[in-house]
Order: sequence, then C-alpha cells, then structure tokens
Amino acid sequence: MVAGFLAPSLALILVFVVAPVVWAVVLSFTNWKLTGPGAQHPELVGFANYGRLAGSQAFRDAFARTVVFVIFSAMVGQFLLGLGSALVLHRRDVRLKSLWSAAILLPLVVPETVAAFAWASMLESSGEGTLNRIVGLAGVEPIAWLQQHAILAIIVVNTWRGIAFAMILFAAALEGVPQEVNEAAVVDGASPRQLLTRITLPLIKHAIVLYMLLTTIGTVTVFGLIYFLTRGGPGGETTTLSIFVYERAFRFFEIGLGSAASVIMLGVVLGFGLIYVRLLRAQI
Amino acid sequence: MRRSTALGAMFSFALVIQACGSSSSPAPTTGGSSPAPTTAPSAAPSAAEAVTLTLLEHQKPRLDALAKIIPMCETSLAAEGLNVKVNITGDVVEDEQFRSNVTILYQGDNPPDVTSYGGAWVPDFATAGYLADISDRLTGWADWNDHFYPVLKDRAKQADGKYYSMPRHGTVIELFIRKDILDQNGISTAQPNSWAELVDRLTQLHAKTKLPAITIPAGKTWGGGTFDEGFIHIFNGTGGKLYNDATSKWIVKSQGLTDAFNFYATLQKAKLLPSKALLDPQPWQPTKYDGFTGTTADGKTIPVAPPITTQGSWGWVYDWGPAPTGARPIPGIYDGKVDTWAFPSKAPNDNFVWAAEDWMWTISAKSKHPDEAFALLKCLNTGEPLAMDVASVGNLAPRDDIREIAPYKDMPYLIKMEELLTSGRTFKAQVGIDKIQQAVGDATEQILLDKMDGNQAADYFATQATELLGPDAVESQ
Repeated sequence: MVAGFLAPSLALILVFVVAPVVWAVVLSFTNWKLTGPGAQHPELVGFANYGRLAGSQAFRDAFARTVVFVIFSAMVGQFLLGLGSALVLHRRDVRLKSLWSAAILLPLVVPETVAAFAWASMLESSGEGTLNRIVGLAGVEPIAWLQQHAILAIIVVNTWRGIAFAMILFAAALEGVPQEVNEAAVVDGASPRQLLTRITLPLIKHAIVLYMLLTTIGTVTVFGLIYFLTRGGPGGETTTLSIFVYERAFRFFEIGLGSAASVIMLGVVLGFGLIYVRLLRAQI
Repeated sequence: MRRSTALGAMFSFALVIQACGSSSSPAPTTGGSSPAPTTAPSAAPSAAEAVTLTLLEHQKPRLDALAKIIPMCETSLAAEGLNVKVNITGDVVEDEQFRSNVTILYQGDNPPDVTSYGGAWVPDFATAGYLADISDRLTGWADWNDHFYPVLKDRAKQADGKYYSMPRHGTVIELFIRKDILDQNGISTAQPNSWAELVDRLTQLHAKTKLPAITIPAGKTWGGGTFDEGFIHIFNGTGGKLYNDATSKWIVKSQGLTDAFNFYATLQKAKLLPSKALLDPQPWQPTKYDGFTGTTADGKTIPVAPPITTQGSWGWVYDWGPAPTGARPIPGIYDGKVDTWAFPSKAPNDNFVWAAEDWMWTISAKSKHPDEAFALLKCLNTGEPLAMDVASVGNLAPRDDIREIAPYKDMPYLIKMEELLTSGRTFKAQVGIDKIQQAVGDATEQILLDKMDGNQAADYFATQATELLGPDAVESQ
C-alpha cells in the first residue's frame, strides 16, 4: 500500500534526477563535445577531465569565488537578515507587520530575469542609475558598480533575493517555540540576549540546519542573476562554478568537461550538507 | 544520526542535480556520426512532387527581406521544374544565443535544411559532421567559378579541402570616422599611415575633447565581436601569424601578439578607449550607437563619443542608415559626414582593409533534400534576390555581377567598398576559433580594467588559450 503511494514519486525521481545524475557522471569520463572533431567520435578518457579541471586556474578561481559567494550572500547575508526580520516581525509590538512582511517577500515573487534587469537598472554605471542618483545627492561621482564592485554587487543582489525565504522559514520555526519556555526564562532573569542564544536559537536549530542546507545548494547553483548582471565578468571576477559550467558546456560545447565540473559541484554541495548535519548534530 | 546524515546527503544530492542538471543531461548521441556526406546528388523529384525546405534566420532585417525574396525564389525554382516550398523560421536572438540554439538543433533529427551564420562557426560545425559537403555542387556551378570573389571562395574552403558553406554576403571592415567632428576639432582626416600616426591623431583629439577617441571592440561582453571587429585588425597590422597551417596549431605566443596587445595597452593608458563603455553588458550601445552619433534620441550629448570606430560595411545601413533599418541614424551620413580609413599597420605605409564574407549559407547534413536546398541557395545568391538581401542590411555582394541590380545599385557607398574585396587582408577561421576569441576577450578585458599592461596581457592570452584549447593544439613562435 505504502509502496504504491511512493511509486509515482520514486519513478519521477529515478527518471528525472537519478538517471541524469548517473548519465552526467558517465559523460564526465568522456571527451564528448557538440562541435568540432570531438563530436563525431566521443571516447572514454578516464579521469582526464578531472585532471584538466584540477590543473585549471580558471576552475580553481571559480571554485574559490563560489565559496566566497555562498558564505557572504547565503550564510551571512540571507541568514542574518532573514533571521533578524523574522525575530522582529515575531514581536507583538511591531506595527504595520503585514506591510513589512509584504516588502520583504516581494523579491521572492519577482521572476529572476525581472529581478536581474531591475538591478541592472539600479546599478547602471551612468548618472542615470538609481544607486548613482542616490550617491549623487552626496556629491559622489557615478560609480560603475558592476565593474568596480562586481562580486559585492552580486552578493548584495543575491542576499536581497534570499531574505524572504529565510524569513518565512524562521518565522514558521519561531511560531513553534513554546511561549511558556520564554516566559519561564524571563522569570528566571534571562536577558534578551540569553533568551535568543540559550532558548530561541537552540529550539529552532532544525530550521537553521534545513535552511543552511537549502540556501547553500541554491546559492552554489545561482546562474541567472549573475549571468544577466555580469556574465561572469569583469575579468572573470564573478565567474562562479555555475557560470564556469555553462561556459564550458554551452559556449564551448565541451559536454564531458562541463559534466565533470557539474559532478564536482555536486560533491561540493554534498560536502556542505554533510558538514551541516554533523556539526549541528541535528535531525532532519 | 546515520540515517539523518544519509537523508541530508540524498536531499542535497537531488537538489543540486535538479539545479545544475541541465548542463549535463543532453542526449549522448554521437553527433555527426550518423549523417552521411551528401556530395552525391540525390534523385530529383518530379515536377509535381512538392518538396518543403526549412530555412532558419536569426536577424530581423534579414528575416523581413527573406519574406519578400523567398516567394521570388519559389517561382524561379518552379520555372526550373522544382516544386519547392520554403518555410522560413525566425529565431531572432543574439549571435551567441543563436550558436547554442543551432548546435542543439543540429544534434536533433530535424535541423533546418538551410541556415546561415558567421563563417567562423563553419569549421567547428563541419568537423562535427553537421554540414553537407557541397563541394561538387559548388564547383560545378559556373557562377561560383566565374563571379564569386576569390577571397570569399578561399575562406569557404575548409582544412580538408572541401566546401560546406557558401558566402551569403561580403563585408569590408575599416575605420569609420566622423569627418565633421574631426574637422571641428582641427584633426586631419587624411589616411593615417602607421599605428604611431593614428595614435598621434587620437591623442590630439583627446587633448581637445577630453573624451575617448576611438572604439576598438575589447573585453568579453562584446563576445566574438572583440576578435572579429577589433583584435584581428590590430593583429593583421603586425605581420604576425595566428595559426600555423603546417602544424595545424594555434600560435599563442609571438612578437605579433605582444605587439597587438601593447597597442591596446597604449590606447588604454592614454585614455583613448571608452573602456567603461566597453565593459558594459551591451557595449555596442554606448560606443557605436549613442557614442558614435554623439547624441541620444532626445538630443542629449553622450559623454562617451568616440568619433572613430572599427566598423563593417553594414554600418552604412544597419547601424547608422536612415530609419527604420538604421538602429541609430546619422543625419547626412551619405553627404560626407562619415568617411573611412583603412587600418594602419605597425610598420609605416602598410595600410589594409579587412575583406571577408558576412555569414555563410549552409545545408544540414541531415537534410533530405540537399539538391533542392542547393538550388535554393543558388537562387538566393543570384540576381535580384541577392541584391535585395545584401541591401537589406548594408552588406556587399559576394560576387562581381550584382552592381547594376536594384536596390543594391542605388547604394554607391557599398559598391565602393565591394571593390576592396579584391585587395583586402583576412584571416581564415579554424577549429577552436571560439576559444581564441574568448582568450582575446579575457586578455583585452584585463587591459581595460587597468590590471595588465600589454606584455602581461599577451602572457595571459597565451595561458588562457592554452587552457581552453589544450596544450596539444597550441605552439609558440
């Protein structure tokens, strides 16, 4: 009976997730290309693609950039601002709660391409850009944000886009914290800081782990926002792993190499996931 | 704990693959292994037997022109006893996107019978087995032998000595100058005869305007244009070689390359390039449209206004010609406001223009009707259909007998450039050109960002090109 209910889901996962994964791994051991002589006679090349990536400065740079991007936009930016928003909106004395919630949720409902174009307009390098108009009020000359501060710009944009998801998740978790536990702690003389660190955070630990896992996966694979805003530039400064994979697989059509880079990406996320689960010793 | 760890791992595994799986899931067909060369003409259908061909086009003005031209060709083919119906499919996207789209189509079972794109793509598509070998058909066509320009015929011939494409249009690339602006600033409009003379002229202009003086495509965001419309015209002025035909390897380190990157660095150091605009996501907008005209539609002056730019013949119509075809019309463009210079070289008195095709027609190797497809291409590249097609975007006829046919005959500025197809300098694309283009974009971008000088950029180019092409495909000189 149970198996019957699970069968459709399992079938879909097998066909659309597991099979492509296995195929990606197989392709990563080939020299298959979509253009050039390599397209006609693909061959197994063992670990050659992985060796090529290991020796590639561009890949190592993309890897390091991805780690920086994940840490600052997801683990720090989205997490802190999302948690902060959830904590503030959880308070009973906050006015216009629904207005604030709607404002924070807005980035989540805007399609990625629309968000990217909106930010491109905001960060426009001429004096017509929204941000340059603002800093211009203080007499600052127009700044080419996407050229001079590219990595910072995409970190800010991705943080902006992810706050809503973090807030929703943490707000739901905070609703589950028993009020009497907080009240008892207050009676025992706990300070607001102690309430947060000793009561609230431990009680929403599961939500934090789940969030970290999801946001890490989501951020490692962010593509559209970066591609539309900077195309990985300038000078490769915003070429993360997802952009690297795209360029190798769909610009140069080196499917074998692109697959190998994807498999490494998968390994990175798996590693992050295992670290979260082990360090926080949480049950999902 | 163990179970939770495994669950977490599986969860993240599934999600990341969903997120990035698209890059790794194309069907692993063996590409061009199945299609057989179609050199042997197939049996012609009877007059009553209708054949439907698909034609894929990705540029709006050309699409509009084909909508008028194709019925003419259908009628013309019918007169020859070929009952051909052509379905035109529009996929109006930028070149880079089109390249991805057409590659995926070639992988499928029903690619378009006929399409066209930059000649630089042909070597990679031909060696992948996607294109029909049209050597016999082409060399058996009297017009090909008698009227097509030799430089275009040579560029169409691939490394294996065969033809997989037919030039659609010709183009000449030169330096276009705003003569009126140079005159206003007291700068000589005579042809500069060396890099030094050009830089001197640009420096004088910059001293007067405090603005960038020249647009030479550079950086990554211009895509293949950085190489095709910029770098190669600098490199061709060094006397160097970029590809060794004897070893079939790319030359990634040479004095010529170092000279070319140093030329870019000289311009950048003297603030002669619109470097900020060149780093824009769509750099042609501020540098060629807003910049070259100097004003926006509402009459505002743009702060970046290089009055000199590298440009192909299509600039006369497609970029700055009268509306509606011209993207940003220059009033009085044909009245002496705009003129051209040949590219100067590093050495004095070695000026040249770039001569090449602008896009190649190709027939898919999987086409079921290669004879009819070739008959269609012959029609498109003959007489009035060709005159209409080249005039629609401001390109040059790839053959020498179209000059008296309207509407092309009414465009003397194009005919004047067409005459240069016989004497221009060129560089023939080879397999891996896309990676060389990328490496050039990377290296010139480092110059634009003031992170590298010319020598460093040349080293960086060598590193990038070697990494992308593999050490076996490159050499130094």
